[in-house]
Amino acid sequence: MCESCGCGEKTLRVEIAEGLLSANERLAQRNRAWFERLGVKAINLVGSPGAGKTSLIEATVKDLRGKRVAVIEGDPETRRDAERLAALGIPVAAVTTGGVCHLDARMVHQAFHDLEAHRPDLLFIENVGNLLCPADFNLGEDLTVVVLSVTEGEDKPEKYPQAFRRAQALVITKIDLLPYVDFNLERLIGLAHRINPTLRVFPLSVKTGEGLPAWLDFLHSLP
Amino acid sequence: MHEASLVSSLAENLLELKRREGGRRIVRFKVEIGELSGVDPEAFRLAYEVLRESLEDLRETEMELSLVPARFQCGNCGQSFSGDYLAECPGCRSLEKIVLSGEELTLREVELEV
Repeated sequence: MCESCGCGEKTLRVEIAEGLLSANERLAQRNRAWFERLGVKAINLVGSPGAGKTSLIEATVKDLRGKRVAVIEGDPETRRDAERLAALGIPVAAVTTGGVCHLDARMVHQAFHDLEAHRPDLLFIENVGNLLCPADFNLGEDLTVVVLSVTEGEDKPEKYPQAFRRAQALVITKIDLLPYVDFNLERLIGLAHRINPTLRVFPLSVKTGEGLPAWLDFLHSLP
Repeated sequence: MHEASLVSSLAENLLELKRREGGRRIVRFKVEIGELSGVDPEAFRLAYEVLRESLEDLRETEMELSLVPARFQCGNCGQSFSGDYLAECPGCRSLEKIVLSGEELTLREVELEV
């Protein structure tokens, strides 16, 4: 533009197509290769605060026989959830994001350095409690699981379609509370399947143990 | 909220490009945001305005945003259609669909002063 006005400035137009998340994507691919090399299945758990992600990991660890489990625990502040899980005697790496609303591939990479020596079969990555932002950030996981409690309302797939689109499984928690809340389980599953027809669905209660065996079988059946 | 992470990754991309091309200043650039990306253009712009206050290199750099509409192709009959993630194929009612566009978060074009 400025070439014609005589001021001597020149402009250069560069055509590119660089994804804004490309740096994270590259790191995620590196994580994936690392997990694959060690034979680790990495599972990214996403869900709102209070959906029951930590409780699901607790219950899973207690009942999952014959698999070595490790956990990366993401929290904006405090290490409380990490301490809760470490009390079960499993290796846990805490990631305190300092207010950031999601985990990214770099955080997971750094955290896994502390866990690698334990040679886990399954790595649970508990994302920051948030159903929106984590959906954009690939961590190099094998599987994304949305954790949703029956107290949250069945319209969540409509409001947060990205998370449901990205996931391979949906765990519906706290189903022991179904008699006390207005929550239409069939409608939720229907909406989730509209967005993602192949989504596996596991309604369960860690309090009563209902539905847990199907979830555990699913984890055992992972290739 | 994660718009803040996105714009800081955008800034890294831009500054890297400036180094690579040897430009003196980035005059303007274009970003495409897909309708399905979950990113709110207003929040994205605000996050950019906040970020560039703190970055000398981008203080006078203009951002142009364009929204990319969502398009799907039916996984069953192949028809293409618009809608959102809940949409079914208007032809055969199938829910199996491939996203053709609408998930973009892309830096497209950068104009540098050299």
